[in-house]
Amino acid sequence: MKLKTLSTVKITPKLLLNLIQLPFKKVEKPCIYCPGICISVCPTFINTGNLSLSPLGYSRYEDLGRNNCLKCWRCVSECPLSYPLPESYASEVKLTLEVLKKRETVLLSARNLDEKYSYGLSELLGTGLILINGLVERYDEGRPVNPSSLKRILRALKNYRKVYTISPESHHTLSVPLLIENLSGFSIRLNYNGPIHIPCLLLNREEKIIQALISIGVRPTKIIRDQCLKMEEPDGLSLCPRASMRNVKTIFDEILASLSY
Amino acid sequence: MSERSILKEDFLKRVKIIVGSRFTDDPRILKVYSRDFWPLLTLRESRGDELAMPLAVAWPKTVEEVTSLIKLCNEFKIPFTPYGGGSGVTGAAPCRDCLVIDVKAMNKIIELNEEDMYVAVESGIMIKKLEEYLNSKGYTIRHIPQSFPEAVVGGLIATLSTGEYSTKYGGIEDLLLDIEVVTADGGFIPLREKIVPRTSTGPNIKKLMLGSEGQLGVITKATLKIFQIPEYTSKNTFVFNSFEEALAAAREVMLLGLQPAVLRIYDKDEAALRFNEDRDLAIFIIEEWSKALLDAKESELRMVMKKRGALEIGEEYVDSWLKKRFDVISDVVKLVVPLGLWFDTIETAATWSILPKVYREFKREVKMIKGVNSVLAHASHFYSTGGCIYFTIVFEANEEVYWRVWEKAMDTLIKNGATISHHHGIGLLRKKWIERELGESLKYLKKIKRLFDPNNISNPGKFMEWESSEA
Repeated sequence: MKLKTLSTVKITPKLLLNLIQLPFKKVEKPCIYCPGICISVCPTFINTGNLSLSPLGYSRYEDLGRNNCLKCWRCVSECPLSYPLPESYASEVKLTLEVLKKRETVLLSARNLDEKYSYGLSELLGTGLILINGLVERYDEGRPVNPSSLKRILRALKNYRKVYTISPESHHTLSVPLLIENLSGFSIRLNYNGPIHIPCLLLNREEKIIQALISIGVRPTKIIRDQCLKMEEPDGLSLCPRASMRNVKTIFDEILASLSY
Repeated sequence: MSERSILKEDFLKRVKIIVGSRFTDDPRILKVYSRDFWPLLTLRESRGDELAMPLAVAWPKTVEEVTSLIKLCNEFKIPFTPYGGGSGVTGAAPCRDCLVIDVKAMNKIIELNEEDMYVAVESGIMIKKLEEYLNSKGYTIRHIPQSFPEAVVGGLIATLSTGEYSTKYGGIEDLLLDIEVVTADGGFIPLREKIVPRTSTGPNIKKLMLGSEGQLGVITKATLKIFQIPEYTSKNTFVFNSFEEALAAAREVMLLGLQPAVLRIYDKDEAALRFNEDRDLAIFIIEEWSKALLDAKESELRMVMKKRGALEIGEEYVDSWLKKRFDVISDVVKLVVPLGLWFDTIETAATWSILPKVYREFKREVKMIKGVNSVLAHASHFYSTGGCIYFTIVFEANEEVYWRVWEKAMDTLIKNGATISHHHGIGLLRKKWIERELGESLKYLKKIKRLFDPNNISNPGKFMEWESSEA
């Protein structure tokens, strides 16, 4: 608390005691104190108008959150406290790492998220391949990542000269650079002209991603940022490997096609 | 099973027929709808107290469904309450044992008319989504209250809201051109076939919905003014020797016709919290559609400030305010709650001649209350006749202190000729004091309520409800 703020407050003995203890006090569930600053970006709320199918409901009832929250993390970027509601619904998950192919430059694959593309891309791009286990649980079940396991993984990744990922989830959790922002380094050119769908977890990187795609020949006609593919089929070319589970074309299909050709 | 239970069961079956799957009586969902953002309800909820649970929630998609629901409520004599964003701060929306008619599934934009400069919308559209849509077309509604991320158009009309830019663009009453409503007795008043800029065709019954807080029916559509997005903006901050000096400067600014989009005067206590600044200061945003007008206004503003001995210090605090203005929880979660404190905000308005006294008396009287730790103030929303002062009070977290604060605050405001509410409205919170402010008018408001709502089922228990002795 700043001194100037303190000067505006009448200090009582009780308040003084609480001030001393302030560094050790933490509000565990901040959402109940909020009118819902984040609700306008919550896909389940926007789709229904039902306040309980929004962080206001998910924060009050864990089972509502576990079963209905898309864990898209859009609310976290709107929250002034960045409260990680989407990972508050279940117990911790430990991340583990398997090195499948060792090279100086590796592609990081997330089990049950992007193997459909990462194995093939790793072959064609000539990179190594590392598989991370546990990420899908964070984003599908709302489980926080065990901090020690996260530290171990980050330490292990420092052993490689370059690490890229194609999963927004890997980028979000591990801050691994996105392959789609670095395609020019692999001399990839794409010939796509049409709408581009930005995944929820990559909204804050939209500008950089679009610039990078334009530099390799992509011509976006429209940017779609309000659709969560966990809820609906996105219009346009998706930048998320998960979209293939909905039979939606992704940029990775385009990349594989151009590399195979 | 009791007769009442059988009645309820029949009623809910009929609700389901009207709205299908867009209905629930799940207690978890009802709990979310048992609150709005009234700080007293939040305090109670945080303590695990039971709140007033509604009976069920329905999400009608059409005005026909709304009409059917209201007619059903009249048939069964079961109360209903319209519910928008739930961001009100007076307990107006929550209603025990009511059918909640949540309007947010009715959220379409019906018409954008760029020549006549209006937009027609369904009442459940979020003001943020409407503004985003208008911005994409080069327009703005410029109605930006602190509840901008949560509020919906219907609720803003029902609570007579103002936005942060109201000094230039007006409150919701100035933006509203037309309204469609399903009345509490199941009647229907549609939108005009064509809006007109002004009409002298008798008292406008639709304007009764402004500030009605759900007690006369459900607003289903609204037509609102829009503006082109101003191309030219100027931001600045001026430091004054006192809050009262700043108010005097604001008066001069308003009488010169400068009408800034945003003018906010912070007393040093609130400036300390918001900007880490221990001086009384005013932040300005002037925005215009013509560079010449902006330059002229900026020049006039500087002259007024110089004459008043104010120190110009630039844009930094304006940008800081713009960035944090919707953040209503950081201070609450990081400071207020962990320190065992609670808070509320009390906004008022008064004419220029009494505004300084209102400020001084309010601060003095409320600060003296046992259990109160801090009284902050800023002034915003200005008129040619006066302005609004918005007090934030921080106190020991208990209900006894809470009501002591409100008793003293309301008494002080009324005694000094200020209003008990500039824009938050009445709800349950201010119900006790509304008669002191309105006098005989309240009697006539209650007669109107009785006319619209003979069965007293439209958000009952709120300030327009009549007693049988008042019939």
